Amino acid sequence: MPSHSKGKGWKTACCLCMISFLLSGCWDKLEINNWAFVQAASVDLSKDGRLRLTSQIYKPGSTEASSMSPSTGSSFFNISSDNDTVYGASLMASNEIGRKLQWSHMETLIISEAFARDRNIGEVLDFFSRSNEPKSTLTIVIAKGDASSHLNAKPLVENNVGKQLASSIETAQILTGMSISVSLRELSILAKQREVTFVLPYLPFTGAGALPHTPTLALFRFPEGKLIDIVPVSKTPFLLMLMNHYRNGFVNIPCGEDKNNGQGSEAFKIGSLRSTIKPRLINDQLTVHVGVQVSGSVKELACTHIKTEDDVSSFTDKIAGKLEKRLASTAAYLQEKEADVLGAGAHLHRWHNSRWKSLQQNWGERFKQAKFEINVHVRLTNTGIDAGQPFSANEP
Amino acid sequence: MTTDSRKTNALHDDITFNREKLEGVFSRCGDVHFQQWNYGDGFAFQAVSVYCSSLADYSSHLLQRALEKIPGYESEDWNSMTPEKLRRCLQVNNASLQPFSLLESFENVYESVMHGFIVILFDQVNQALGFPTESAARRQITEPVNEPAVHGPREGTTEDLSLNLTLLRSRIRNPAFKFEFLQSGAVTKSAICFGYLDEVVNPDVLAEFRRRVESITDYEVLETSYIDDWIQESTLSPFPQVRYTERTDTAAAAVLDGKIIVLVENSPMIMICPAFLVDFMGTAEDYYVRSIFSSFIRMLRLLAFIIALTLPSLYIALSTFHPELIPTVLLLAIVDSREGIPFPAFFEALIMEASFELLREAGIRLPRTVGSAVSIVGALVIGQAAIMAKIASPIMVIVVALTGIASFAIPHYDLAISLRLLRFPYMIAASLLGGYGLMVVFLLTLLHLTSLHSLGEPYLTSIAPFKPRDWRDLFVRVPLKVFLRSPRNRKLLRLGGRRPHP
Amino acid sequence: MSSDRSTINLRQLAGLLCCYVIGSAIVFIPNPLTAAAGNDAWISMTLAYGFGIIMLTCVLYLHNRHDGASVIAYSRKLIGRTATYPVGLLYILMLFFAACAVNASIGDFFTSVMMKRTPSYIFHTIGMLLSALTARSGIRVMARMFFLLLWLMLFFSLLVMILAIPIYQPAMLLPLFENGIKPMLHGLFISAGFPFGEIVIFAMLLPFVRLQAGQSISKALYASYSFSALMLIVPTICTIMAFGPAAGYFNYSLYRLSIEIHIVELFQRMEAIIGIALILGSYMKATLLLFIIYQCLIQLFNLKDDHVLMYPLSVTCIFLSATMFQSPADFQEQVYTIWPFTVIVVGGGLILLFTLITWIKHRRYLQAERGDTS
Repeated sequence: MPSHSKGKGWKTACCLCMISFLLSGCWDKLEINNWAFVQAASVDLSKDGRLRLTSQIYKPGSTEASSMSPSTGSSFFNISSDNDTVYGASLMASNEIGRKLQWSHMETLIISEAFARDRNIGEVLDFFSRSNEPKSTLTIVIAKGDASSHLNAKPLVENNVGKQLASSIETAQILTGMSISVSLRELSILAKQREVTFVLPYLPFTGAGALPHTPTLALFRFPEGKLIDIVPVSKTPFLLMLMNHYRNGFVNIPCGEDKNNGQGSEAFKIGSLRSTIKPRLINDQLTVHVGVQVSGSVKELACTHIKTEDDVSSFTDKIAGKLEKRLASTAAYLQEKEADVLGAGAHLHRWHNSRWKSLQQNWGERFKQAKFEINVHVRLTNTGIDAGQPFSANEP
Repeated sequence: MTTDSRKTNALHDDITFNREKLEGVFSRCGDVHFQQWNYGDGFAFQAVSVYCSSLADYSSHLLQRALEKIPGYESEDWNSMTPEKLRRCLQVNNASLQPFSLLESFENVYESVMHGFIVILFDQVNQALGFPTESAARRQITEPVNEPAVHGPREGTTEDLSLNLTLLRSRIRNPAFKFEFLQSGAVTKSAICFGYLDEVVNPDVLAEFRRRVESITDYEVLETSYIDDWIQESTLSPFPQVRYTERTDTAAAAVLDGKIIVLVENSPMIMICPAFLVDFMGTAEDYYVRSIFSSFIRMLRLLAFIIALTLPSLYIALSTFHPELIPTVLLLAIVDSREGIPFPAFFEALIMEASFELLREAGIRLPRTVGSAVSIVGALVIGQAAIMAKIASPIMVIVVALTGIASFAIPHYDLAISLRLLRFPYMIAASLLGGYGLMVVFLLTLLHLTSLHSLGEPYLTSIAPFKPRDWRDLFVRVPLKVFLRSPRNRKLLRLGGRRPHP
Repeated sequence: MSSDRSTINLRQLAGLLCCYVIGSAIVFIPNPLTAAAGNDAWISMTLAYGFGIIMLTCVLYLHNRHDGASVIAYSRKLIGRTATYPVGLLYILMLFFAACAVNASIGDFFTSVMMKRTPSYIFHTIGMLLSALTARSGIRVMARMFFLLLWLMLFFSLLVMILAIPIYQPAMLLPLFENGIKPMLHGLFISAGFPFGEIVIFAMLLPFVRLQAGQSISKALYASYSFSALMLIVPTICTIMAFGPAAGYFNYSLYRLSIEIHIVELFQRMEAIIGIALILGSYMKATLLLFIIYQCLIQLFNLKDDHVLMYPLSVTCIFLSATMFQSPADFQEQVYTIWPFTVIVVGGGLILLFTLITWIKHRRYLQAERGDTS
């Protein structure tokens, strides 16, 4: 009995499987050469107020017949399409190329400043968040001028411009603390809060220029999703310090009071920086206490001798002082723009939710009137492999 | 047989009648010879010896010496033997007539002659004597070709059943190691022998095996695999339900594990049943090398199993349905290399796999002298030229080659061929529905394996009825110090009459 | 041995309970909960787990009191044969909805996430076909197979949760009870229906277990249920920690979490593998539900147990899956509003009713005994 029914079951299973053969066509199947792989994309505002999507697509080189290695020169081409939505523009681009656009290997999304000032960037981000294709490490940047001009620039080291921009932002974040990469997920979280100000990386140069410049930051606010202001380059690292997103970077300490008396500057590398924001309500006025712990090493000495304990503490005091001054001016800048990117409001929202409900209506005003208390503590770890005196010092 | 037919089949007193009947049955058997000789006072009495020269080694010295033992207690020699004396001697001593056996019917005579006995018929005596002789020379014991080992015994079985049983008995010298014999086939009368270790083998399994195998005695069994075909539960399943080996140490280890081994005359293959999926992933050599190394090799075999089954289908699924899973740099390289190939990924894979299978089959059939040329041709044709002719892409060649190598790394041939077979449904499913299709066929395979039984025991023993304790001999090989303290070994110690250590 | 095809051992039953509870929930939870309850979702789930424990206690009490009889059998004893028919039919209709909803949800998952142009009836058909073939092989084969698949599913979900540690921000778990207690109660309502309350349906599988001496079915099932609840609450907490206020925005939370994993170039984009591993849970649940429908039918109408009815049932389910839900909003409403109500009121109510009647009868029996002996 068992083997007989097993045989029957198998026959039925086979028949059903064969029927399912007929049922399934190949809807989602697409040969790898029928995709157009987008490496980078840019969004601009076209003249008639529509959205212009420019995609940079990889053009496959064919293998040489005599050798089995692929050809060394890889090439890309850009294609632009106008539409009211990103999805519509992507389909029009697919029409023109003849292959379907595939977003899963896109490295960078460039949004032009004009678009960011005029329209809500959430419209563009919605398409990329809703589709399952883009990767989580997609870099989103705002660019000066025409965003598509960046796609025409020739990459310096990397294969393509998208990878280059992404690497430069990432390197800026890791090495110099001049920029920050924001993922789509973080933007989604920010967008769900009631009112929030945040920063996105900003490229202060157009693609048509000769050489790229250091990226900086741009301030945005949800729910409008529009660009408020561009952070000055000098304030960018300190803004990141206040946000506790500063990883590594450097501080230059001039030798004399005046920068231009030819006495040179010294360089202090910041190995780690941790800042804690403690917003408190004292007598109905917001006081934000910022405590910053810095540790780093000396990279260049020009005029200071660091030998004794006193030397070290005076050196670190100098650095702390400079940092405090700069942080204070950055905080003042933020207050002027009513931009609470530090997360003071979020902190109150989490830890003192009942009070936050009454505060959140005019939080911008409160933030503007707030008092900042900034305290920096610097620790020197080492002076490199040379002793703590300048190169050209000849005193014992 | 009824008494009547037995009566008609019984040997006569008259030697001429006997001889004529035998010559009639053995007519046109050119290798059966009749030798007439006389004995007794003045060589008055006749006798005939019948033997088959291809099976029996007829040397008259041996026969003479043996015949001299028959008079026994009467201490007479053949010169004064008479038929009456012989009859009396046979009556009195018939139980102790070493080395002869007493034959009473023509059936017995036919069987004895065909089993290499020399049968001697005497005039006026209605019984015959059968004398076993050395059988003709068979193949020597050599190392089994298909199961080479670096470390360990190199004894392989031959076609001679008694020699195989000798090799097995000398490994397990215990009366609990039982051998039961069956004879199958009306024409071939081949001997089937199955062996097991009493009290270690599962009695339900043994009963099931006996139930299934007893009906084969009507059919001609030429090779051990006939029995496999007869007793297996699912003939349509790609997975083998019994194991084969030519190594006696593997067979002995299987017996100690509680399995049943089956041997058939004229076949060197020992069949081990019941066989489970986990048995196919280990070899006897695993226990002869260091445990760390054999654990590593076992995990490598698991990887080989997965690769042999799924690599081409994974490639098809990833490149046609899920390009986002491939890292960007590799993806762009694949796009470069696949530009200009006229076939879709599935057909490319199918062509390459088919060529590889053809190459493999050709390699088995070709004589050894031409074999090396085939491998060179194969490498050139399939590898290099296909790429240059733009029939296949380099990455497809790598996928196919890796799959082939992985299937060679699986120690048992039966499982490797079942994986070869299963690869194609996986590729079809991957080309139709991508990752989802792979999941569906994987679930169907798992369902089939879970409901498959080998002699009543679930095929996925230790995996599906989940027994993590058994896994220490599955994916790793724990050192023998740990392993031999297992309950199985304690049972064996008790069987041998020794008390196990606490 | 294998001749005894219709019983499973206690460990396998515990495994089946895990598959049943975690099954389709691991893909869809906690999205509807976080949409309704925000940061309080995990509190809702914990309370719903408490509700489920109460239901489980009732079910086990009934099982022990009636000596392992099935739900239909003791309902016949408790409320009579004629009343059992409508009750049984109600039960079966509930089961049809559950099985088809699970099947439809598999199709929805694939068509919205991975294979967007394939029509969903392909997934309904193939999924139901697989479930029918598996359910047909009997509960022993199912239990053996699902134990393996359960470990696979748990391994991948744990892998996702561990690999996503770099993106967790524990501060996002606060604030709790931001809008009062009502969102939490809403979340409690949803999760008491799906998945914790569905234990009342699992009661149909309890008669299949074969206990050995000294084994306690209660201990094993409580442990397994608690483990499943843990495996559902932990992803909730992880999702809230990773996504904060956006947790309710992303459908298929664990899948979305796996998209965010980026350790090295190798460990990115594993969401296709994760998606497929998680869908195994839904397949297991659909198979179990199909098997339970079949058992209900043959016990209610006293039909012969020869698995013939399995294929017509599965064809019915295929058609139902394809036509039951008009739109995603319809699906949301039916599964997260109407279904919890059905489970709590109809399923939970029935079990509580049976428990009450059994308890009263037992009290009376004890009193009668005491009256006899005194």
